[in-house]
Amino acid sequence: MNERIQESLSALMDDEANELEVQRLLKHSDAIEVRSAWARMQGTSSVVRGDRDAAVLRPQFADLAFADRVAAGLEAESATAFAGSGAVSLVSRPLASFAVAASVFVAVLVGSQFIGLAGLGTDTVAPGQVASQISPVGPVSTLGGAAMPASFGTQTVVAQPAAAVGYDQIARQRLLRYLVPHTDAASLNTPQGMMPYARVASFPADAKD
Amino acid sequence: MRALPVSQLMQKTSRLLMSRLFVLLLLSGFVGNTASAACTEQDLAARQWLDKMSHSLQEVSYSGVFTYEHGSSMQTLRIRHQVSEGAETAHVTRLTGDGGSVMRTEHPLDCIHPGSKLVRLGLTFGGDSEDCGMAAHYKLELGDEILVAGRTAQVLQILPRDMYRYGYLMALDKESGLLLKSQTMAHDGRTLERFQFADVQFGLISSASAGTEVEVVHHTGHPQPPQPELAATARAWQVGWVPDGFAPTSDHDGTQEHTFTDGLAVFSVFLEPLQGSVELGEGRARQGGTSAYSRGMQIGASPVLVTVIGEVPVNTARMVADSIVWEVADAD
Repeated sequence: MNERIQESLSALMDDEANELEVQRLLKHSDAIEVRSAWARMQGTSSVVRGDRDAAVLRPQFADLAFADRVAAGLEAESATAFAGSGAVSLVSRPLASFAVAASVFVAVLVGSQFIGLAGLGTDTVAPGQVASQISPVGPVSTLGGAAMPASFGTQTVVAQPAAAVGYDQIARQRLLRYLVPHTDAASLNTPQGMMPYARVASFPADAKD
Repeated sequence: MRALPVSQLMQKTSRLLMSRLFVLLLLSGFVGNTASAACTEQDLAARQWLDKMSHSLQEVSYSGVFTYEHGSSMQTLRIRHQVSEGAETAHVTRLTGDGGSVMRTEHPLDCIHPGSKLVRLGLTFGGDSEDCGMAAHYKLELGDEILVAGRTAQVLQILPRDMYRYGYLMALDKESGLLLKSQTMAHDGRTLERFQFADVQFGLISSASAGTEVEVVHHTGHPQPPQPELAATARAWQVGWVPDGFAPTSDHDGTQEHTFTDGLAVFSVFLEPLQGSVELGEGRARQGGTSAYSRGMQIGASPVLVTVIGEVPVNTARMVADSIVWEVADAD
């Protein structure tokens, strides 16, 4: 495997692959060495962010023919993109499409494995110890006050595309699940009063007391 | 080989951070340390409006139609708020979508929740009565008079003094103080969501004139007021850090939900104990002004999923999640 392919894989990991790099990867996606390099990189990146279970989970990616799925997704995406677009879109669309295709497929593979996986090793941290021992990436401080946050809210440092997208789905799910109890509290403690119930897309039906 | 993608990411982030920090400093006028300073006259005038608003929210009878906008989506809802015999009854009905409805009945007027205590004058809550209350965390500024729902309204601009909360643009009915329009603003000035009355009437109305077929009614819960002494004994987990000015909204004893408010914003923390183990990671979602942040992590030896939901920047949510500890050593 040449250096350029390695470089492209690296870019993909970082969510920064450009069109040329994507095409290059797709062309070589059948090669065993490319697949195992991808799996290896996933593993390394997970270790970097302190994820000890990753080594157990990652090798499955290679078996699941990740690249094939991405390629199929990209093809479908591109077909729609090209259908009604001019020359400019030919360059710009596949970029976005790929990012979407890649993250969606990785998310599908990873998503189901996040929670409730039994039998994997656990580390013992003294009770009461702050959870930041296994902290996320980014300069996050738990001291408060003068702490420098990693972002101002809408932009965050993303650890690694696969894990981030999987957990984003979980966050969205939890947003739907917890919005009602949260709004119950918000409606009693903010100047908007009952108006925040507008945020709840559908109210759960309650039995009347 | 592409060198150090992580450092590139960090560079980008810090660039972004610097530019936003600069904007924030400009906005706040370098007022890092005014928290304990005396109230200015403007703060006081603004706080009087907030006080009036908080009272009217509970004590005035009104009904009307309001809109809720975020992104390209807009909902229309009807609200009825009736006060009689020392209690308030509120009813919100969605006029678009599923037509669902939320009801709060017989909420006593003398039941004042922490959020209101933080906003009202003459009430102290978890702080020094001599300080400026929420003016320590927000820069308050009275604006022009505008017309909302056909009524003259006083504009109140509320900018956060730190980056843990959002800013607001509010318009209060000049006569009653009722909040007629509320807009949540991110630090970069984007509007995240907007509530706005299209039409409002004051006074009691007959309950018979419903006019909407409602099949789904959600009766809101009423959390107990804070009971600090009880709460300390049996709480299994606690939030170790919240931004200055946030206080618990209720007794968290034995619940899997902890909620905090600074009078304008509220966030809730949920903890789900997991079986087996968890792949460590974090994710976020946003809808309008509401952020959700979920993190799979281990506290002690126990895998948990922590979710923070609230009208605060996602980074605040993350820092709160970061601070969760077991209160009792052998809790599992």
